[in-house]
Amino acid sequence: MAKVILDKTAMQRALTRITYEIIEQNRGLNDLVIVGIKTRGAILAQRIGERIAQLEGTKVPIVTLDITDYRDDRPQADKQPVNLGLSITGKNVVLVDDVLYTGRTIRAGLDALMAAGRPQKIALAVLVDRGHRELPIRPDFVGKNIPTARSEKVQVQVEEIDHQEQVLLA
Amino acid sequence: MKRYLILEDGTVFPGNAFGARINTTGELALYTGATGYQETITNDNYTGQIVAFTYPQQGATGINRDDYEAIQPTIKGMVIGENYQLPSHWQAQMTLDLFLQAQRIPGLMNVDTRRLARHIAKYGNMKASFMDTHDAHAHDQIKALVIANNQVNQVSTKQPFPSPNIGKNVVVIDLGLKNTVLRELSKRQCNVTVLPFDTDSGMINTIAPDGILVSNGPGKPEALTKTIATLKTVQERYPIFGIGLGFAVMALVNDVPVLPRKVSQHRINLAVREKITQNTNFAAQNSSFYLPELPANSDLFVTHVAVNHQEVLGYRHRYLPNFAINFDPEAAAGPRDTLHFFDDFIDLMDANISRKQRLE
Repeated sequence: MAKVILDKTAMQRALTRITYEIIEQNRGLNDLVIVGIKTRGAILAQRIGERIAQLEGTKVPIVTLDITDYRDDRPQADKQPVNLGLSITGKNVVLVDDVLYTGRTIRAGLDALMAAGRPQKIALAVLVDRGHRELPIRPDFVGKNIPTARSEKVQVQVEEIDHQEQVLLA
Repeated sequence: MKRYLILEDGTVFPGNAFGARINTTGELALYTGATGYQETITNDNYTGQIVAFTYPQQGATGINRDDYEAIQPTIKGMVIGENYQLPSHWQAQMTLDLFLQAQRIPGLMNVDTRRLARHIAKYGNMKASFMDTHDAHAHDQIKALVIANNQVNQVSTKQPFPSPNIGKNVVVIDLGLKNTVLRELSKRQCNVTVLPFDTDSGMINTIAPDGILVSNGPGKPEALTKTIATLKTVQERYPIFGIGLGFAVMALVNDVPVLPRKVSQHRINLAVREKITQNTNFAAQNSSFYLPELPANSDLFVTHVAVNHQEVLGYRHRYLPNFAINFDPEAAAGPRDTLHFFDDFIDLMDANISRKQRLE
């Protein structure tokens, strides 16, 4: 049986807090670019962007990143250069994903970003950190830390894809 | 027994005595909630004030052991319409009348409190008295009354005291703390130390808390120079959550002035909009000052606004983990829509702890 570990309200509050922390740690919105990892990370990145717009009346660039080519279980020769549609060189990038687990997705995301430019700084925001890292990667902004067993599954559901908002542990 | 409520502008409201049969003077406060008289008359936000209730009937649920907001009530008087003398509630231990008698607080009933509310709304906050006669002498007396500026001094704890638990280490700066604020921190397992309003930073640094809560309270924030100076020196070191008077104090700590209200607000129906999500919640509010807007160059930014009028109800520091709200998240009395602010405070402390661990 899947257990709800964050309901809709708790998810909203977590995203709100992450947004406040991004503003606090970035010391404002200057040079901020928010990059969401496809698919649910991109949707969460949109949510953070909308929150900043409500708060400050400023639109921060939001970019979707497809890391498929940079995955470490794919042939390296297939790598296509990433086109983000804007330059991230010198920018403060916040990379957003739904669940942080082994860290391999984030490593692929970092490689894809570095191939696209030379950011001043990259920070990592995740809705759920479930542990079991296989690479030396840690998040800067966490919605909720959820200790899990490897055999368990954490699923983030969002309105746009899953028609409901919640985080499930199964 | 016939008695009179006399306002400083000479207006007289006749009524009948209940509670303690003593004369009294103080600033008049209007409470507009339909429920919550026990919480209200034991709330230190009203220290030194005569509290008038606009809802026409009070006393229907008596007084119970669970709804006190302070051990000793500090209001100077209670003005109501009808006094319902046969309380019917499974928790009721005594009548409102008996409670006020025991606490030496005078009451005045059968007063047209709605006319009183309209009068105050039109002419602003006023001093008032309860007297047996309304002759020239009584009028002169209330005009000459000087309201003290040391309400927080009267209600803040004289000694630090602990409220032990097994969770986060929290310091509460007591400016007139409601019991329910401690209840909400206890529910979240906070290991609390309550400190007097004039605590110095050395005391706080010795405790080295995970976070500081600056409480609600009565009176004027500008009078709290010691509290402001202490918080100025520690605000970069600890996450801070300000409530009510704590909101005003934290604004002054960040050099943002607050303004006194023409009519103090004591209500349980304040519509609060959270800017970031555009969600609206309802909250209780006890406030005699307000923040119309933030200066452009301020280190603070607006997080919550009033829906029905122009006013900042919540702000956050741009560079530090500090936030404050100008309403009562703990309710008691009032709607519980905003209890999540205590969870937000816990999350703020958690995030700060893990950030510090990463930097070490």
